Amino acid sequence: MGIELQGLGKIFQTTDLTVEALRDISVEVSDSEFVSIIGPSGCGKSTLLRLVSGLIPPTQGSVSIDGVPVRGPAGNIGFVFQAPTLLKWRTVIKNVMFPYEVLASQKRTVMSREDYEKRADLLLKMVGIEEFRDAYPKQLSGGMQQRVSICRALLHDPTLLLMDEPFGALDEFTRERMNEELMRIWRETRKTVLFVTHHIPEAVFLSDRILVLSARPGTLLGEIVVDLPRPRTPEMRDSVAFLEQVVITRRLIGEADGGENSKGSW
Amino acid sequence: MTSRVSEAATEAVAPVLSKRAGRIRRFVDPLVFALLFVAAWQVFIWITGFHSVVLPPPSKVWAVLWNQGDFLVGNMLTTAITIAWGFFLGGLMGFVSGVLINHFEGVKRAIQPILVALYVVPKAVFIPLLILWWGVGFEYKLLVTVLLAFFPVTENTVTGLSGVEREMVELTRSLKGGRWFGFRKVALPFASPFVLAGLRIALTESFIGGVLSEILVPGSVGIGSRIVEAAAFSNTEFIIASIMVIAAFGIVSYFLFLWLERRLTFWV
Repeated sequence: MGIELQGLGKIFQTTDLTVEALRDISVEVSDSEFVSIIGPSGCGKSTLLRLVSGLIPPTQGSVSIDGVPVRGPAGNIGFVFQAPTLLKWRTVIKNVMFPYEVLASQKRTVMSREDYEKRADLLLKMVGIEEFRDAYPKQLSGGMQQRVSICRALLHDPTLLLMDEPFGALDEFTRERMNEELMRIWRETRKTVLFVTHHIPEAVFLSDRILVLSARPGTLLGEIVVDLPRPRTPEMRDSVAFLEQVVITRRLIGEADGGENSKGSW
Repeated sequence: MTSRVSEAATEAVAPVLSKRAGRIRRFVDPLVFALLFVAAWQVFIWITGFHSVVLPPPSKVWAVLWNQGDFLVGNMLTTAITIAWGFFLGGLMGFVSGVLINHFEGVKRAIQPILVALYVVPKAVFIPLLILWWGVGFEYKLLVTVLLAFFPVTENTVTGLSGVEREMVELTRSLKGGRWFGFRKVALPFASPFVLAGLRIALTESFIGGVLSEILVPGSVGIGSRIVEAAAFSNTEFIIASIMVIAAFGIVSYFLFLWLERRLTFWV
């Protein structure tokens, strides 16, 4: 699914505070492309995902998906948040089946319940936690919980996957393993992915393209087309080509900070 | 996974107590303590030589329980009806108002000051007013109980519902789920441990309401009225026996509720 952002801007206004989160973002993302969005904290990365999903309306410009302007949630998007956001009172399989229940409540299902459940089991198998099918979230580690939330985001076969720092709370080893797993899922499902992160090697490893946003208000500073072959393998992380891409990205981000915050979070 | 966790737990406790022995001791320990308490009570009377009007010996209290037990329990059952209805209605109203306060900003703005005012004023000051309006019958007692049971449930319902994470709401919305669906499947289960904790407090408040409203009206029905009457005749052992009956009802209902609460919110 192709996405087109045109002059996109968002200003949040409360009674005593006006915050310009994003300004004049124009980007095109093509079908099945994996695009990362990177930038300093508070630069409006999450806001960008919420605009694309239709959860919040833009104050300027527009978002269209496959040429159709977005006006509110369309229901064909998979969202993965930084926190797994699992429903603690439901088993793993019931959590993955949540989108089915939403669709069923509005008669928008395209398969029978059994078929959705088969798909859920398949997804759990794909991320290697099928034996935890009937466990409760608190019995799972953070990495496993995030895998469940990825399965949930994929259940209804969305064409677009929005991921908001999904591995930000995981330790480095788990993060790398999850990166590899995500690559495998992406190869198998061919979703268009918008992936927010502030971890440079992660963005390089995963993406076709990296969009670099400036500090608030977030503007598009530039983009890097990641020049690495696919499929991406763990060994690639140690290659010169990979490190070069990391350095290029880091330089562009350095410009994003304008040197002002160069001692900051990078 | 569950079994692994419980195995680990059993292993840790195993050298000290077997599972069965632990279950027995849960009942034996409080019983032993109660017996020690009664013994100390008796010894205290022997030493101080208090007159039995001031502090009757355990044997006299036991005699009241033995001879007039049916009478006491009968009166307590009358009180229990007020308690049960007050708890049910107060809890229900508290829950509904909590939901409305949380979901409609206008409702919140409009009624919150009144609720806070009612909350901070000691509930007992409403009693003369309620008696003036309703007399000293069942309605008045029920209203006192409802008034006491209402607030903890309202407060906890609002706390629980407002704690729903933004992402959970967005998850439902991104799938185009409606508000009612989100309430039923996400907000309500999320808030239920808070609501149940509020109801547990409301249960003890209902006991206060049920008995207190009777204590103020001697000559009426219910165990509270029997207590004031006994006080007029300096029948101390009867008062203590009545308190024990109320306590027994309170303990049983409280632990029943706790058991239900743990079953309903097993994930907490």
